[in-house]
Amino acid sequence: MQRRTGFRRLIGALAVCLLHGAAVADSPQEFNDRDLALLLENGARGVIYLWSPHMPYSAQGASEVQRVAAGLGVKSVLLLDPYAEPALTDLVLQSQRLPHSAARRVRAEALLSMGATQHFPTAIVFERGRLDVRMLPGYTPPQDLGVYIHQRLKNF
Amino acid sequence: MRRSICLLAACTLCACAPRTPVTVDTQLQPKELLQVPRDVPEYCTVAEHTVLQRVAIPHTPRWFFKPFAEKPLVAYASLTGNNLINLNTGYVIPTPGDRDSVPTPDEEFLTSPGVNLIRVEDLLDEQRRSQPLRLRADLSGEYQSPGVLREFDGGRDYRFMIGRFKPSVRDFRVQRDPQRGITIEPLNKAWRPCPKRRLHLPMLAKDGREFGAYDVAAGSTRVFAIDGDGQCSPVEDLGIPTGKVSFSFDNRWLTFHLAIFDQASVAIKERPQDRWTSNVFVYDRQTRRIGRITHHTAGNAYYPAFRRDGTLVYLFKPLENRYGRYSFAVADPARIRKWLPIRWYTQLCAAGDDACHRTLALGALWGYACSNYDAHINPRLSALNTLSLDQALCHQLVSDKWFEHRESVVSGALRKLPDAAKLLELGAQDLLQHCP
Repeated sequence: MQRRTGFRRLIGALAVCLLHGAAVADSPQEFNDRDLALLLENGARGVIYLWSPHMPYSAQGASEVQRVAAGLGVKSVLLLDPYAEPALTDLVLQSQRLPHSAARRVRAEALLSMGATQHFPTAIVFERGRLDVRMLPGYTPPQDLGVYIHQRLKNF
Repeated sequence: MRRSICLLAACTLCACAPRTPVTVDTQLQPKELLQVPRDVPEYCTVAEHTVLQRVAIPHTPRWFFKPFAEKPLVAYASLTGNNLINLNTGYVIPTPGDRDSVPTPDEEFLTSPGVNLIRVEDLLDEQRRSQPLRLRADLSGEYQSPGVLREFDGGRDYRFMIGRFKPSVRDFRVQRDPQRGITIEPLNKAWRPCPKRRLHLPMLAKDGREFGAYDVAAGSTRVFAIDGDGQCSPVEDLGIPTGKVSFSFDNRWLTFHLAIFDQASVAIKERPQDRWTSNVFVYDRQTRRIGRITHHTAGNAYYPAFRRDGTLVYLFKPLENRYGRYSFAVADPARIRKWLPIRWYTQLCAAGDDACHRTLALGALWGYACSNYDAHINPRLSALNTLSLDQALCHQLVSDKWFEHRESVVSGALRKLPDAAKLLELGAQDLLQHCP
């Protein structure tokens, strides 16, 4: 058992090495106030989802929230923990098959001042140019997340 | 070239990952704390006087860890799996699983999502480590937190709470049976306390009788009591959203981190985009006051958790994304010099509340004297900086800077306070009495 665990760890560590080598080493993009204004300006409705590769459930949820939002016909915007390790981020982007845009580090003060980076994941619904004042921190299974997003959008 | 260096660094890291036990530095001095320019007044640097110890973490951790109640151990998750680190010796051993490893408050078991229990005694024994005693409590979900409801001759009743979008609770009895050895049996079915509320990130108190959670509708962190009949009722509202809470073993204190815009001390070189950092706070439920543990402007302090002696452990991550500089820090809330009523932190001072006005004036003064960001001075947060200074430094700040900055304090950071103009009439002596 211990040998198997050790082997799994070794494979995991090697994967980081290989993926890091293959990953884009450029400075990660940021999502700032201007990006947020643009997002809200065009009248889109959807959910902003903050995730961190250091919080495994948030990475799992990042894949799920895209499907949930698509099912509801709304937009999903994945934003990264501003202090996530680049190598770990690359690894999780690959393993969860997340788009490279999910590696935009959140820098928008409107989100930061809500306390949106206090926990990963955190989901925030937006519609008609406004952010929902309520946050949803912590992993939420897809079905419940879908119900929540639907209800919040309905009550905006 | 840059990519090659990154690859080399990543692979070096991987090679160093503790697949076998390793030993690390237990008296780490974070580099950024040593980089204080000589011309910066001492009152601007706000020394981390509550911190007792820093212990290096040998590889990239996830943001999840929990300290043991009394043993100098911390269970934490890393990219390569779960680990236990001994804070005194720096000895690190791998443990089963790859996430959310939580010790029970009695230190008997290490739990993992499921809820699976692994006997700690076996993990610490080199001979038995590979095949520890395992029990399965059968409560599926994430973010499990354990409590001990009662102890009796030969066993204990545990309560586990998990946080799969709505808190679920189930109680179990673990006892030593002469025939069957150590057994676990459920005492009830899983149930949901406060089922009509949307509560996230629930964390159970060590005695299993209360829990803290983020109340989505209220937009704040609240404490709920779980009554004898299993009903739940709100008993406290902090008025602010916080990171996951941890209860002290006597339930008097809560600790959590807040992601805050921290006015950068001029002492610390930092990038403007890193102004939002996480710092650790403690809340005294008896006096309803908040105290500040960390003052990082060049690093993040995450997910503090209490130990039985009242000290707490948090994870420190420096802002520069370099490996090998993560650490666990042990801090003692008893060293907090002065506490702030939480209503002063969450609400405007009431008209005529001179103590509140003057304390926030001390905070705003620190901001104008020490911050790089005049437009963003938050007198409440800054007040917790001033109240963390020793008395002599606080006196020096007031004596040196009050007359220079008082007009900015009144017309700027405190302009929304009722009666703010009255602060202009104050002399330095009037403020000194509000220093620690």
